Amino acid sequence: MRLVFEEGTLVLRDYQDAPLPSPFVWDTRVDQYRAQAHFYRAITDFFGSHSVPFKDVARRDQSIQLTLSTSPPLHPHQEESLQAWTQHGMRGVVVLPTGAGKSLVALHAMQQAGRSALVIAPTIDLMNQWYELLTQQFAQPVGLLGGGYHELADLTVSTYDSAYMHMERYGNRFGLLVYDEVHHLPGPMYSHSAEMSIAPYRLGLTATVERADGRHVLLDSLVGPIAYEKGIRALSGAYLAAYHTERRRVAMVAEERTAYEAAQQTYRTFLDEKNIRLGTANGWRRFVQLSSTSSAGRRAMLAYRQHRHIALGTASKLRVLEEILKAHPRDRVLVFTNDNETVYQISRTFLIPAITHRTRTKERKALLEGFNQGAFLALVTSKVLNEGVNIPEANVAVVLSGSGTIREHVQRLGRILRKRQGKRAVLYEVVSADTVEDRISERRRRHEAYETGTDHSETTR
Amino acid sequence: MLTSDLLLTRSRGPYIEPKYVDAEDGKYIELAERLIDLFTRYEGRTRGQLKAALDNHEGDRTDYRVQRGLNKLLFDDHCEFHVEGPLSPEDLRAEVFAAARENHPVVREPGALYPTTAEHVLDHIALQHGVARETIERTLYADLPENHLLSTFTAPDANQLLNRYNVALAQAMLYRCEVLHLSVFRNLPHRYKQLFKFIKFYRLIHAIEGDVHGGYEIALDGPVSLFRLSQKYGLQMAVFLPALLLCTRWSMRAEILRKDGRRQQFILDDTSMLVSHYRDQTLYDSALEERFAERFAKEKTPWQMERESEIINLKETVMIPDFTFHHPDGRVGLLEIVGYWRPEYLRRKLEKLRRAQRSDLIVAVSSNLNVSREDFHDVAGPVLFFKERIQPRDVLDCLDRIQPLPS
Repeated sequence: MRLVFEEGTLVLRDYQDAPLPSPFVWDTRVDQYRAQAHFYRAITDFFGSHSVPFKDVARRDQSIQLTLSTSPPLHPHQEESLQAWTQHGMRGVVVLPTGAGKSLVALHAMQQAGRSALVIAPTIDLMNQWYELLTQQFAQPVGLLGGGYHELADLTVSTYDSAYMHMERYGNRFGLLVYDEVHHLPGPMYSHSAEMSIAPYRLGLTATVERADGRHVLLDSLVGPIAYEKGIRALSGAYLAAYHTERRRVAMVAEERTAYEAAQQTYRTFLDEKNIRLGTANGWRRFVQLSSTSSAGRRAMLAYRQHRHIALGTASKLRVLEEILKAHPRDRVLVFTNDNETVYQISRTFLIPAITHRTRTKERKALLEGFNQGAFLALVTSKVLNEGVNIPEANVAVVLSGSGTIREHVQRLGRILRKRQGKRAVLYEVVSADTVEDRISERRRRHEAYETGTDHSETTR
Repeated sequence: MLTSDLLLTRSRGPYIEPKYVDAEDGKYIELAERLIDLFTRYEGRTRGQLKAALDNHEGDRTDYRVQRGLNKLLFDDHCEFHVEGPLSPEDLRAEVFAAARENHPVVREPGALYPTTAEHVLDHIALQHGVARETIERTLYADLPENHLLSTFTAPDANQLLNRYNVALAQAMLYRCEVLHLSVFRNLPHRYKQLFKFIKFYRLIHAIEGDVHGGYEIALDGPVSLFRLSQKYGLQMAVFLPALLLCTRWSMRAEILRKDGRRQQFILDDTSMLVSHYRDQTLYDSALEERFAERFAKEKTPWQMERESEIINLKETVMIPDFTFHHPDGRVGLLEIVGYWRPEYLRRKLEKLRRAQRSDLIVAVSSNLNVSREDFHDVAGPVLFFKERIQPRDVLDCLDRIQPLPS
């Protein structure tokens, strides 16, 4: 009897009457027993304890000797999380704020597991960053799966997309999976990558586990339980840079105010006529429906978009940005916006380098390095730097516009909190006063990290 | 192919289907022609300009999603873009940002403390390159997709575009498919072969029931579907669909999982007006088969040769014999020709023949191949060696010796 890895599953070939563990199901399509790959350890343990003879040809992971080339001493919270993960049988999730050094925990975990490992990151940016980190730290070739690369090695870095696409082929090659920003994993599609791998060892890293859809409860079976958790306030000052936040409410210029109110008027009149209330779950659906069945509805939808667009992108914000740039001539400033159009507008206006999802790997790397070394003092970006990108020198963040999500806002703050001697970080949030953006801002600030801060309002101009 | 947001659907009870457009309807032909015309007129301009013109054309029309679908197909399949200008935008940016760094911060309202504006920096760079400032401004981000120039547009005709759009809608519907049920009935061997070639190529798993007389029911999904229904294989099913459209008699039932969690069925059959854009394989795999068919047609015999094929299910794969023979008394025989094969194919073919265990399957083997009768000792049916051509008489001899299959 042979245990074979096939397309993200385990199949028993030449089955002879023997007791089978529960993950196995008879597959009538091919007349064979089949199980999900992530039950590999349970299955082999079962065969072992029931003395069932079988040949294991499924497993193709390798034993590897890893030694960290530079090993800074671990902070207590890093040491503790590593221990907690080990005590959970080298499975589980470590929850630490951005900047608390999660990747160092992962490097030690990889060294400890001593098996071929796959690191999975949410973006190409982060994939590249892990690639650089692993090549620096381990004397070992590192493979890339994703972003146009298809090279496999005993240490490989991939993206969630590529891991989802390719795990059915490579799910037996790794003994350890490291999921960076693991809250992405439990989606119905991405979770296949965890299910299609035989890896007995798994580590998930994140700053916030919770998902709006509640699916984070699945992490337990996909990666393991939450092994360790520590919040942002517990680490501020000691392990993260000291910081404060400042909100600037700006008034729109007159023409913008007029256009804003006209657009608002248009869609509100339409909604009133149709008796639709946007706050309700059904309201938005009906609005979308009507916008594709009637010209009036379509006009209202366009007006709705326009009024949001005006609020988020007001010209007055550029004036405030200019003031902030002038106030921090020697600091490293990161500017965040909600859309790429504004990113390029700011890049052209102030001749600041821009990074968006359009920026190619080589240039992006050069820009980030240039920023860290002081060759550039400011960078403007939309969403791509929200997560995990390593820019320790940044100490001023300007949020010109964004979504209402707490996660995005906390991550943007996290970008400037990497600890450095004497560093004091500031996060500016620029908001169009008396518009829909006030509410967006209120929503994203509902987090403990924003409990210290000052508000500056301009009411008229 | 379309993105899911461009899929328009219509629900009726347990059923869901795409909102196809009538490719003969003057309204849609006119729309398609206007869009094609717009693309044609924007040759030499940027993608951003073309997009703005398309947005403008959309206006407040409620069929904007149809327009966007057609546009997507035009962009993907009929346009070529390139980056404008002699300067490399990436090099130019490095130069510009370095110059700006020397004067940081660059401002819009210059003062005594910070006197430099973007215009100052760009003028300086323009002077160095001996070009106008506008050229520098245009080149700075010329490599962004919206600034790419449309160099060539190959215009399809309106009808062709609308047909392609309808197929793309059906494909987009399958992105959300968890399992695909097919019924196929009396198709020619090359159509079945084509079908299973795609099933195999896209790594789908089949389960087959039925026979050559009543037709076959085929369920398609993937390995992990056994544990939880998944849309993981939806994309594979979508690219498979045009192969199904090439079959002559078929129907399809796709189990669709909607975003809201409801399950519905998407039904399609050979009466639909969808037109495949995949090329149909030739009727015969080889000249060998074709010549045999011609010669057999001249024989005087009660055996009727038909090309409508049986599917022999070998679970992980299938075997589609090249010819089927019917006798008026009800006997049936099959013929598989093993002509020119590379060693690997030959090995797999032998393996299949052994597993098929069909006493009604005649195998005609070329004596040019490096195989002997010994290799076929455990194949259930008659084996026939031939030199240059397959003699119909030899096949008829075998047919008369076939023992009926136990039913």
